[in-house]
Amino acid sequence: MLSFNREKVKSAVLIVLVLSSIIQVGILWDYQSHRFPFNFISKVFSSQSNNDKTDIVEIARKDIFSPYRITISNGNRTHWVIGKDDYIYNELWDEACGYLEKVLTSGEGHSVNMNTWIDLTVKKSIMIEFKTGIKTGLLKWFLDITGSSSDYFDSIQKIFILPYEDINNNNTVYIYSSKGLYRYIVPFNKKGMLKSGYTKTINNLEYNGNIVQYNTFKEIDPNNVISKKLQLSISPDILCVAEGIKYYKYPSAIYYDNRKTADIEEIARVILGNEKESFDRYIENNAVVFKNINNTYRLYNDGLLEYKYIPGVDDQEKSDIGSAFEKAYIFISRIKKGYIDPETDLYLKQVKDENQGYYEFIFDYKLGDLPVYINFQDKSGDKEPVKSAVSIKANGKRIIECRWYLASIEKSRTQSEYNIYFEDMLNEMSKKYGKQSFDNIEVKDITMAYLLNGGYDSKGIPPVWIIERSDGEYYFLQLAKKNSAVQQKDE
Amino acid sequence: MCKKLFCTVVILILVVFMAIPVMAHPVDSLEDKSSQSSGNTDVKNLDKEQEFKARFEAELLAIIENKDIKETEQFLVSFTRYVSSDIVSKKLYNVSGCTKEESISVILSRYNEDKGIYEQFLNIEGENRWDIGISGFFTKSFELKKGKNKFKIIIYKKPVFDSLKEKENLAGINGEVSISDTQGTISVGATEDKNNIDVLKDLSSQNDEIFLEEGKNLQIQYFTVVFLDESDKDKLLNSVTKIEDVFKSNIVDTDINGKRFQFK
Repeated sequence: MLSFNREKVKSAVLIVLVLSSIIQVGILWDYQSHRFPFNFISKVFSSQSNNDKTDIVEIARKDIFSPYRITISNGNRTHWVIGKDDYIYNELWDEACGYLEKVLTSGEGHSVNMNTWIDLTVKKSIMIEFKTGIKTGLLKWFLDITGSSSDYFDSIQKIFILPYEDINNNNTVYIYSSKGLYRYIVPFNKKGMLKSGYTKTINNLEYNGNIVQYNTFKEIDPNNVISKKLQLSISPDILCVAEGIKYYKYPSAIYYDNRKTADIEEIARVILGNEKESFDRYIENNAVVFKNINNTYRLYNDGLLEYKYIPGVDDQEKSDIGSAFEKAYIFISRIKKGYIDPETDLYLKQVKDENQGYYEFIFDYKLGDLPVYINFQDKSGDKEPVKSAVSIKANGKRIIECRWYLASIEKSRTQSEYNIYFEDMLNEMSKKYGKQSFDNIEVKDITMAYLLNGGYDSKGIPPVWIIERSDGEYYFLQLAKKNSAVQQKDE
Repeated sequence: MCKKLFCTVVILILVVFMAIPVMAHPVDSLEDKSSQSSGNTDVKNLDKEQEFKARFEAELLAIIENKDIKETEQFLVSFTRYVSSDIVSKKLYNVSGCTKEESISVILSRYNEDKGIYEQFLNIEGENRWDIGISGFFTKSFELKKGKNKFKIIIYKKPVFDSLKEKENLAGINGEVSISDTQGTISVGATEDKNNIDVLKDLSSQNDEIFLEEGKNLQIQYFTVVFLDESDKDKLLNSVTKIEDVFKSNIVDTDINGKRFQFK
């Protein structure tokens, strides 16, 4: 009896040892994440993870995957920018996603001369733009495209939908990619808009006098007279207001630190989540620091959050971009939930993949339809300047580094009328920077935005013009308020 | 002795203090005279300026109304999208241009068929005349009436009197310019603008001078825009029309200022 029990105990101890060794290996496999190995076990045994992934993709797609701008052209020198609050916005974005899916899963499109893309902007069309090219791998992740699909282009920046081009009742989609311009003739989306739907949308816009009407710079200067005479090179697709509404109402932006408490435990809960127990915490040089063997988080008083994976990226596999983005998104969504106001949107501005060990995802804030530019120079010089809201380096296995300027941005209650005419903007810009500043430079984009550059005004930050050069640097100028313009005239 | 000395000093002090206002009086009167003379000069200047402006406006009006004045090269302003004849289906028409010159003004005028003259015409901002800003670029839109619209754009370099005034105002803000006419000199900043002075002298001496000269400081541009509204478009698209008839019709006039149409 006794010997039987001894054998039983031995077997039980053996099973426990085997299990614990598996768990230990599991922990190591999970890169010493200092938590119980449930995550590892669930990965092995449950189908839950697949559901979680689908959920994450769904949430990320709604939360982050959105175009920088949707523009409709009536082909008769009038363009409208469709705002996020416009009823047609989601419908058009779904249309674009539908066609993008077709393009990414179909064969190679017909290659078109790259120089003809600018002609597409003045045709009767819908243009969907990303701020910079988005990698096709990431687009596939967003659109949940698996299996074999076309890889003709590395990244996509613009999608043109020209429903009136094909005479055989098909839709025509142009893809402006890193490898050139491609044309796809595809059937209209089954559940989407037909030609009549596009016509109705354009007609509605034409009858609506309250929407700002834009021209492209190509329409204003088709023969490049300005670049020849004034040595000012402006990208032909830049949208300019030259007619119609001159003054338009915009709210100011109010930004604030949404960290409601200075309690270090509460901060640890938001930033570290379930892992908070495995971190040491202390305060150093105006920053709360959380540290363990491999990870350091630093949250500065001014709202800058820095994370670093101490071992770096040696011997790490870069993995596919979708997995890397998933890691980045999980990290972002956890902190965003705790520290960023839901009204503040984040959009994917750029993806860099030059490094062998990781991808770098750059996000910026957006308030309504206007992007928020950030430019903070640390006076002490200890920190690198902050140029974007979030810069996060990640690979398929983990986050390597992150810099995030935590700020909640919301619209002020009051709105003011601002002069949005292109000509007046150029004059004010020449006054501010001197006409010579624009000699021989290439203007890539001119847009209205909010600029956070350290100055805080309790009345809010008014919108500015951002004149972006091709090298990424930009000039800025406050939009002229209607009342101040009248005052200046009176004076 | 001390008492005598004290009294003498007191008397001397009193005399000196009493003498000060007496001595000051003639200087005051001199200043008054000087300011009076300066005021007179200002008034004279103002009169000159008024007279100058009136003569200039009269000349400008004659140029605006004149339908026979010849078109010039685009030597002051280059239009970015210039077509001498255009057919459009959009009511708003846009004219854009750029220049490297400073102090350039633009006047938009439209031909009045009944009166047989050109008349100043308002753009959508409510201006019929505008100065080109510091960037050197302008873009203006205006509404077309249905059918044929004949336009003339008058571009001129603003005359010296205006330019000087502008410089005076501009530099006045920076505290760099002093203009004194009492000695018959004008100085702008540290250096004299000799050309301006010469022209100003000329203006004051020659009342009959012509200020604006085509090809020198005056640019004239003609263009015609035919605006077809939806009914015209439908008519053209949905009815059987001979090309010959189209060119003969009122909608499209092939003989506008003897220039060929450019279809868009």
